[in-house]
Amino acid sequence: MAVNPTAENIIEIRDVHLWYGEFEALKGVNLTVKQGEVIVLLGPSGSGKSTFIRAINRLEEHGRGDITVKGIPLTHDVRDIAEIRREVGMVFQQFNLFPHLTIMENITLAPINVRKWSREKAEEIGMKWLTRVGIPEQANKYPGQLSGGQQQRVAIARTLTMEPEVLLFDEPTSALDPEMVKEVLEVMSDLANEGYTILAVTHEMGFARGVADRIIFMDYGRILETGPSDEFFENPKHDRLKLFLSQILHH
Amino acid sequence: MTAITQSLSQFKGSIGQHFRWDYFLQDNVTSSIWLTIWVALLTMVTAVYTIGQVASSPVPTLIIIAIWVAILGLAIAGGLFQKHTKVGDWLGSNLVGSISNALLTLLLMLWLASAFRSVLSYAVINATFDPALTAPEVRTKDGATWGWLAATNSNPEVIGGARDLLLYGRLDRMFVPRVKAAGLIILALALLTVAANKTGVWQSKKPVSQGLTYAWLLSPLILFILLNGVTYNPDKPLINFSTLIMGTIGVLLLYGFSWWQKIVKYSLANVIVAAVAFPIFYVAWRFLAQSQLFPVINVDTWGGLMLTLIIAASVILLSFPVGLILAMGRRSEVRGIPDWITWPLVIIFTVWGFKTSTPGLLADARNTIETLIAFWPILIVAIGYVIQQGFKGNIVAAFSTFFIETIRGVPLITLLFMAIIMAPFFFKSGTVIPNPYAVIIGYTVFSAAYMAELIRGGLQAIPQGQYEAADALGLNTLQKMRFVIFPQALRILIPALVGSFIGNFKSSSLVSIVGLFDLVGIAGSVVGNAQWLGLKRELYYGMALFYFLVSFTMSSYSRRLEAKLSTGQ
Amino acid sequence: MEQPNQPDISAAPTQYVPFWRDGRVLGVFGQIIFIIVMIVIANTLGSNFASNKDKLGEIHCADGSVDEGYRCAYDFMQANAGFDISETVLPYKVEDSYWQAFYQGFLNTLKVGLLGVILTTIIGTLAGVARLSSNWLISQIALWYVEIMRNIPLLIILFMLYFGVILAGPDLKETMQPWGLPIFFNNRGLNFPWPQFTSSAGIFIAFLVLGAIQYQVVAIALDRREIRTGKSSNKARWGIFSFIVIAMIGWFAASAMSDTEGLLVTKASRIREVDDIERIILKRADVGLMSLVNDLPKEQLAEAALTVCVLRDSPSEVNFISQLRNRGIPYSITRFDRPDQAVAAYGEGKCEVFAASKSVLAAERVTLENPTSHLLVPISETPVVWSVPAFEGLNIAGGSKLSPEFTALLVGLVLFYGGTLAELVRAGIQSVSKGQSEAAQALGLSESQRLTLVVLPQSLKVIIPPLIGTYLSLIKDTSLGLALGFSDMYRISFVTINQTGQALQVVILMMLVYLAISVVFSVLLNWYNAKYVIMVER
Repeated sequence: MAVNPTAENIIEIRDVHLWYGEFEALKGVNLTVKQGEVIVLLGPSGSGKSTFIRAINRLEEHGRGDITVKGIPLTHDVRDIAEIRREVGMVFQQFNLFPHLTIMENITLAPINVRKWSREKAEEIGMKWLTRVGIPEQANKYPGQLSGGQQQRVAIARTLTMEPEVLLFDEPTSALDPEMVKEVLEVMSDLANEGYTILAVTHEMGFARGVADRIIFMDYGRILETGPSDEFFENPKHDRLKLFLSQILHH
Repeated sequence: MTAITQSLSQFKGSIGQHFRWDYFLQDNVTSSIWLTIWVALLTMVTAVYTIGQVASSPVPTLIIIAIWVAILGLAIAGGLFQKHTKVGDWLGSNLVGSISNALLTLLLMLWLASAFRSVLSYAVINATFDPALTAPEVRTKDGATWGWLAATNSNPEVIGGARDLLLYGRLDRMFVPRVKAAGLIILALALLTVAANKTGVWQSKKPVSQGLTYAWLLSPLILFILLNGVTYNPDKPLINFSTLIMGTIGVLLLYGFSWWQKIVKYSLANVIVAAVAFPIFYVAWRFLAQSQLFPVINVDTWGGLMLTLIIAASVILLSFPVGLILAMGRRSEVRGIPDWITWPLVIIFTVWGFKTSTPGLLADARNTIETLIAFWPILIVAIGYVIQQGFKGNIVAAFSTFFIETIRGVPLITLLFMAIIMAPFFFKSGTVIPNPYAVIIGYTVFSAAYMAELIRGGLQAIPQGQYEAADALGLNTLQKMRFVIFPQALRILIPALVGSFIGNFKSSSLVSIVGLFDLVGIAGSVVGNAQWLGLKRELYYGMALFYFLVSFTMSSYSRRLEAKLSTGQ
Repeated sequence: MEQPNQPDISAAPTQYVPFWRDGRVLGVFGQIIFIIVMIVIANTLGSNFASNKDKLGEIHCADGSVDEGYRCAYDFMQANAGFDISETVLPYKVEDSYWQAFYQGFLNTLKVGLLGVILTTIIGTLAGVARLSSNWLISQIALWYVEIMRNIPLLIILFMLYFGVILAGPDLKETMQPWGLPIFFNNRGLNFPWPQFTSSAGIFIAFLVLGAIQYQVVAIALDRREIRTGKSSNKARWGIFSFIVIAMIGWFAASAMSDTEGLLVTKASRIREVDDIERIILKRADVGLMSLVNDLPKEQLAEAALTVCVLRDSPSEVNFISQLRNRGIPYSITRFDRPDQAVAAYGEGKCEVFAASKSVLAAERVTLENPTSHLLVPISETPVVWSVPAFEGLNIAGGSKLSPEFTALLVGLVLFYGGTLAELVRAGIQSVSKGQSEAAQALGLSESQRLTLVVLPQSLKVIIPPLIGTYLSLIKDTSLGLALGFSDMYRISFVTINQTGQALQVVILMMLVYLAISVVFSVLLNWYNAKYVIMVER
């Protein structure tokens, strides 16, 4: 979990502002992410955490500032955007599996059409990841036939089959029943241990405490405090953070 | 004696345990003054009607009354004596649940029976099926005369023989075999497709689904050859080389694009097929024309059921792609033209307009309206404003929206009429557009606008997350639409699409108003004929029945489809 | 706001994006290509049109000159229409211009459209609620009604109604008159009594407006009293009461003050007021009661009847005749087009009474031989007169008439779209979750309260958006009146085109008007939807 200090900066975010019409959702955020880091974003709802990570793969368009992923600048250049999206994978709160395709088809759709792999190669690698998340027997079923936890694991496998460098998680367990949260968090922990670069927005404090290298606290579109996980929870400095922690940690 | 009184009181007691007369009365009669008045009125009307019915046709009425009493008995037995039976319970709650309900049921049963009896006596019992009646004889009949349904007969005095007119209109009878062939081909294709679907052959065997798909794609061409014919112009050379070369290049380009987008696979065989497809087709067409196997039919003679089906089918087929384009246009999120380009252009054009045309128009103006029209450049500003403010500079969306809303704001027959009138103006002078084709074009545009709204609804119904997941995976727009969005949208849309098809089939009757002799139109002209005078009612009832059966079948099928699809989700 | 991990920005990212890959440029580029394509298409069509322009024929301006451009394109509409319109909302003469004919058609379209919308709403709601009735028979009948309407084209329904039902009705000679009421039904139409406004109506309407204001005043005053004293007062009851009082005062005032109508009678006739007429007729017939007079055999009745001369379609005609009818006085009427004709007939003794406005009577009286032997008897005039149809000779005069075309069109549209609306209402009511009904029942609301206060308001949210489309379709389908011969806007346009040959201009005009109606209606309904129906949910 400790990051190799000589690792490269894989994501660089500098003075990013993002507007929805008149409303400023991100008010100048800065962040550097080293390869292999696991970062968790915390904050009350509406603080801009999801907007922040969605800006990284251009699901939201930032108005000012620079975002660079693996050295590729994120601008209006459509070629660069496509390249960044290949290297960045995202797992959504609502899973967003394609309901009309089988699990295997869900997983292999992008590799075949975007990375231009052959069907055999896509299925081989897809199966490998499906096995890794623990549900290889579901390959020919449809998403509607799987439980929420299984669907989310398929979503993770779908993302990983594209072999991205960075994984973004947008509240991946918030839509799951409590019994299934554990299985998804286990997968995420394994991925963290294997050295993937992860940015996760989540409310799972256990995950944040145990797995994250760094935690970022945001509110009102700004990063208010960041720090290594143990320091974060033991010695919160910012008042807002203290209030937040007191609200969530005592229930 | 005592035994009887004992059992009676026991009986009364057992009823009394479950049943309270006062509550019953209150619920059914006295709870409000309006209810009492309603029940009293209902009782009076029912009594009067029943007595009237007994007087006019005693036997059926008494049977119905007996049935009604039986229903009452079953229901009462259930409620009063706690002897619940499934049938009794259902009857009790659905037919005789309260006093007013019971009375209404009796009234309706009697009325339905009497209506049914009169329809039966008109359409079946007193009806005649003799095609040899003459028009004056028809008028003397009480019941319906169905003799006109007989096939052609040679005697122009009798009513038989209208059927051919109704089927083919004024088509030259020597072309009827071609029309029948066309109908058989479509019927065969449809049956094969349904059979393949039901038995699972479509899903399992790829050649079957591919073969049938190609057959369906070719069918419009075949139908065109059969129903329209192939024009042969002996002055034109047999093979026009420039057309040949351009067509071949076009097909090759199409193949290249499809291969690039991974719609088709690359293989030498495919390339060769693409290269020779157009020349083969072109030469075959020219030979077909020269052989005069399928001479051209005067399209204006298309009529009757044949015309109805042609119009309905063409419109259904063509309006989907056009509607799709319109829907995609309206929903497009292509970045709009920014302010700093639009406004200067608007200002330039407005000033130019004011400078060049307004003074002249003002000078010629004869009244206030023409003076106002002289200031037309203001409209440019208005249009620019609407496009910028309402559509964020997205002209594609603005145009599509404007087009759709305009088409939806006018009645269909005005569009058809306009198509017929305008067709000769907007094509190069000398081109003749036969009325049926003009009508099909106008109707397609109309139907496409409605279809566009349906499709837009379907696209909107797909959760935003699907679009986002496809984007996050790196799929480009074409791939996203093809693999993720359209399959889902189609599934959602199928019930609405079938409904739209049924609507097209029914509305095709309107072409009769603009002078085309479809089924309704030809029926109108049939009744004008002295030979079939007096058959108006039978004709219209027959047509109504026909439309009802076809539409009802299609909509039942669509409902089953909808149920099947929703359980599959 | 510390940033412990200051970004190490060694590689400054470039902001330059080649324009052929820039998302913004590509978007604008696409728009421009679209515009170019549109311009090309417009240009092709325009040039084709110009080359075909001679097919339009020459365009003549109102002053007779030939137009080079399109300036006088619509001038032909100012000429005399030359055709009659069988039924119009406002008066129309054959010499009116095409513009006026078109306007009449427009009004007819609106008439059918608005009436259709109102009636369809009623029928559709009833049918929709019936579909959900607990009585199985009722719900089945409603179901089949909806199915029949959904599966048969509207045109065929219209034809079936027109030919099968209405035109198959009785001939003029066999006119049906249900239960002895003055309602006549034959295959030329349905005649029924209808109120008509007379010249004194103005005063009455002024009083009505006053009454409405009074209603508001009473409501506000009672409101204030309620707030002050806390006692609830029946605003509605007192308001309506005061309104009725003022309306009645207005009625009598208008009748009393009306001074414009009169009768010209000879002094010898001894008619000083309408009551005198009654006495005279009774004496002539030699009976004691007016009802007995009407039972007399035909010849005696004709002898006893009052002979009246009137001007055709004048208000005095309606007014006086209705007064005669109300008293049961038999009369025989002769109508004239011009006052001098009428007064000539009167002078010759062809009629005992000449009813007209006082000014006309005064003017015409001097033309008689012995003006002083004739008397101008004023008659009162109630503001609203009940015009009742009755047989006069072979025809039916008076009242209002529904033509078969109008009736078939209206009934057909209402039945057809009632089916569509029934389905919408049913879907709307079913969309309100069962929990709402259960809560209402738990609170003790009655069935009708549950429906009107809880279910229907919430169902509106689902019903109204597609309802707008249904209403618009109904209004547009009034154009099918052409098939029945009803003079709606489409038919008038059709006839105009046939007579003038200027098809293009008329079609464009007609489509623009339909578009305008659609837009106005749609904007209104959408405004209502946005304001009252859509509940902003958090």
